[in-house]
Amino acid sequence: MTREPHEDGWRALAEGLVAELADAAEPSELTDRRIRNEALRIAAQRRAQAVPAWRRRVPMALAASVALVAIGVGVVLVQDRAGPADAKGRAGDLVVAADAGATGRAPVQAQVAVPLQFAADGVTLQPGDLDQLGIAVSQNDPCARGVTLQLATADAARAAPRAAAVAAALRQLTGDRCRPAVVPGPARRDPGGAATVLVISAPDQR
Amino acid sequence: MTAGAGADESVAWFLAWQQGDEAAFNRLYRQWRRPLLGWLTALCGDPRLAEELYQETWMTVLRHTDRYEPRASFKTWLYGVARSRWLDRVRQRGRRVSETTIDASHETIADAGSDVFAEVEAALHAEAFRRCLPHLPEIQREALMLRLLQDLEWRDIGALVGTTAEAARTRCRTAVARLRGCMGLEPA
Repeated sequence: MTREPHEDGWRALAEGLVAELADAAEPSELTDRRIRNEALRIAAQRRAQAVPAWRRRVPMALAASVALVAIGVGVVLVQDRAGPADAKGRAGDLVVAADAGATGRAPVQAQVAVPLQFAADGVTLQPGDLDQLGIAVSQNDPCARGVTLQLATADAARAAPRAAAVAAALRQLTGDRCRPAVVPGPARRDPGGAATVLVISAPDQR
Repeated sequence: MTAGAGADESVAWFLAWQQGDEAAFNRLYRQWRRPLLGWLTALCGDPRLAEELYQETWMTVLRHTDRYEPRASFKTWLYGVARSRWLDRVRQRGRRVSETTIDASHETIADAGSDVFAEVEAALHAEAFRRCLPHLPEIQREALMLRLLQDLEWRDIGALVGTTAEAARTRCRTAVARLRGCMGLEPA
């Protein structure tokens, strides 16, 4: 490459500027999270594609069998116990799949349930919630055709704003790929567990 | 982090990432996040736009992972993607056409025989350079930065920004003249 006279002096200035900016550069936490979550999602896809089909089916069949048994036990327990919790979040029973409309339908291996702990105002998601959502999105792509998102919450008064907050967080994770919609619904509280759960269901789980 | 450090490691990490190794991607990402964002900020002169481009760049890298082949260094590929995203934005804004016209008038004024880069004492003028660079018209700044930071030939710069090699050279010459004025240096 032919250099112009004195070009190196200007190049040194430009490179010095880049070095200075790089030292001070810090992508926002949100940007970092979007990129890392996309990496998680793609890595999961690639690993799945790398496993031969017959090897994928065996654990899937096992998981489906276990899930069917678990659902059966859960349904029996629910029938034996009290009904849904009231708005105060009285301890009742949580069967996430039931509130998400998946009970009685098998299998559930493509369903992801994300327990959420909101901040003191009851609506704002906490950093831990965002991390949980990021992991869930990497396991079950909310942009995939037919995927449904249901927010099962025992706090009926806050169901809609919580669903909106979750949808907004998911949109940050999916970027321009899609705009996930979250449907709020009633939930029963899991003894000792979270009162609000986001359920991401693949089409064949509905 | 300098551009050269860890370049070979980056290729190895990216090849591992191509096989689905998340940890390899995380190492790669940590290595290049600050240098890339700093470079984009210098290139476009707008920190907010730089972060948007930064995110678009990584998303493109992630979604087109298989397009990378280790014939090129990872840095070349990464920065090439970033530059493409930046040029896309410049074109989307539709400023190219009107400013090309303005730039053409510069060509008739500029003295084609003079040095493009008049002498500058780099160490003494770093602060003034940082202050003055954002004030350059975008088409001049981009031509200058493509030359200084990417080491591109005039014809390659011209092809990238949609003009001739001589027009690209003129843009740089005009940019340097403006910078010298802004930095309080004697005219070349």
